[in-house]
Order: sequence, then structure tokens, then C-alpha cells
Amino acid sequence: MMPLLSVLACSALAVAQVSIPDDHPVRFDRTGIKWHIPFENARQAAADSGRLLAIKPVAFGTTANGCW
Amino acid sequence: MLRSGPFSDERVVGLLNSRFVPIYFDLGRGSPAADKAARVFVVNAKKNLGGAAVSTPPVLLMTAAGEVVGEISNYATEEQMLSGLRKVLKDHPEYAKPSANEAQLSRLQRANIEHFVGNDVAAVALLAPGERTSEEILFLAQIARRTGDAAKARQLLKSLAGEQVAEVALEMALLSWLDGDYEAMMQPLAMYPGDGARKAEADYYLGMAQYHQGDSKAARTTWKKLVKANGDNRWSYRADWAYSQTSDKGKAKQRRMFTTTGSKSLLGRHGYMGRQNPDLKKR
Repeated sequence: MMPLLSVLACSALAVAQVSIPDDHPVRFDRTGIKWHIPFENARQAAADSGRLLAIKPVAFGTTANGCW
Repeated sequence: MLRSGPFSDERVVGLLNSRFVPIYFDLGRGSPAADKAARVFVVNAKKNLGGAAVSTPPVLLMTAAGEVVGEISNYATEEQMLSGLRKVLKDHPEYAKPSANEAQLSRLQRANIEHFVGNDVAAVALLAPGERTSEEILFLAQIARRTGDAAKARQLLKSLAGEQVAEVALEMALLSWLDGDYEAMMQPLAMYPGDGARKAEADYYLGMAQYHQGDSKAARTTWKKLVKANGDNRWSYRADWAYSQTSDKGKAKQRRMFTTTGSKSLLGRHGYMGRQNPDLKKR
């Protein structure tokens, strides 16, 4: 069965990927969402690719081990 | 909530990755996920998020210039998240154009993106000409299932006779799930191969089938094995949620909604999951 994996792979083509810093808690995330970190890179990617930003602000709840 | 719910939905993930630039950060200045530029950008548009204590922020859909064009609640279901994302693209088609490099993708990959965007007619049309592969037929069956056309889904799956056996069995089990026929789910889910791409999903629903047939203990064992085998995984988030809200005898007396550490949480670093895992309710 290929849909998810293939689409996640192909969607990586949509905008340039940004690597996640080693000390950022979002590195633990396994949803498959290609988070763009940090913000200025995300904003630039949105401007360059003609996309909207989908921003999830967390209200003071993130832990170093990826809980949010 | 978001990770155990909408942010683990294949369609939401696919839509975010193909038509948006997703970013996550913490408003707390000392947080390990703090991002000063993001905070300034967001608070400039949403003043109410600038305080020391704020209500749980929604997902904000914003232009790179700083205009908020949509908001989706942190407590949205998968369907609400999906329809919210699709609506903002429909209202602002200038941000919904296919990427130039999408033309290089296979027709199945392009059909997947059309499906995520909500354009199932285009998705089906892409797969209409010529001979369809078994993977394409399987995908069309998934579209039919998700749009509530179980008869069409079953017809497509039956046409695959002998091909994609495990995937067809899983899809049939998911159709039984929609019918609330938990007994019919058991055999196809139990036979799903250990190295299959959707093993975690199959195990999640196997646990649900066990739970709804009254064997909560077996269900929790299944979810526990799922998390142990997969670690952080989108189905682990969902299984962690189910596990945290049940006991070996059925529903937990106190449903756990938030998990950082503790005996009830399998992952231990999940966060807020939500008031109630909707799959624990009988269909």
C-alpha cells in the first residue's frame, strides 16, 4: 500500500525542506507533517512557493522531549 | 489533541504538506520550541496571544505578509480540520495552485493530492484512462470508503481478486468498522503481515474490534504492543489515547486527557490528547 508514504515523499517536492535542529522538540514528532523550523525559513518558503503558512502556536506547554 | 486526532490523519497530513507550509512553535519565551520571530509575527496579528497566560491557540492560516485568512480550533476533529483547510484554499485559490514539480509525479500521486484537496472528481478522472494498477484500484476504493459509498468500495476491492491481499483485507475490515461489525474485522486485521506498511493501523483497529466486543484487556495488550513496536508513530498517538482512557474492564473511570509521564501513558511524551477518543464510542 503506497498512498501515504508516496504522498509524503512527493509532497516533499512542494516546497524546499528545512532540516529540524537537533535540539528542537519537534524532532520527536512522527505525524508525517513536514514542519518548517525556524519561522523565518517557513515564511520565506511560503513567500517563494505561493503557499499559506499553517501555524500551530502552543501555549507554554512544550517539553524538551517533545510533549505538547 | 491535534497529534492523536487531525494531525495524524493521512489526508490532513498530505494536505498540509502539499498545499501549506506548516510550522509549530511555543509562545513561551523560555520554551525549547520558542521562536521569537514566530511569536512577534503571530502576536502582531492576534493580540490576544501576547499575554503571559492565553487560551489554547487555534491553528492559524496566514499569508507570509501576516494576514490571517483562517483559523481552526485546537479541538477540531479530523473532518473539521480537513474542511477548514480545504475551505481556506477554496476561498483563496491563489494559494492552492499545484507546484510546478507536481507534473513530474505519477498519476496516482497526483490523484492523492487531488483527494486531499477535496477534489475527488479530479482524482478519479486522473485514474480513468488506460489500465489501472492494483494500487490505483485500492486507492479508488479508499476514496469510496471515505465518501460513504461502501458498495462501490467493496466492488472495487472484489475486482482485485488475488492482488494486494493484505491491503484488501484491511480495507474490508475498515468497511466493517463503519458498519459497526466488529466481529468481521477480527480475522482480516489479525492476518495483516507484520512487515506491511499499514501494520500499525491494522493493529489499532484490531484493538478497537477487541474493545467493542468486550475484551478490553486484549485491546489494551494490542495497543501496548503497537506502541512498543512502533514507538512514536501516528497510530501510536491514537493508540496511546485509547489506552489512556480505558482499563482492562472497559472505559476508565477517569479518562486521561493529558499525558507526560505515568503508568497509564504508553508513549509518555504525548501531551494533550483530547476529552474522549471518538473510536471508543460504539458505531
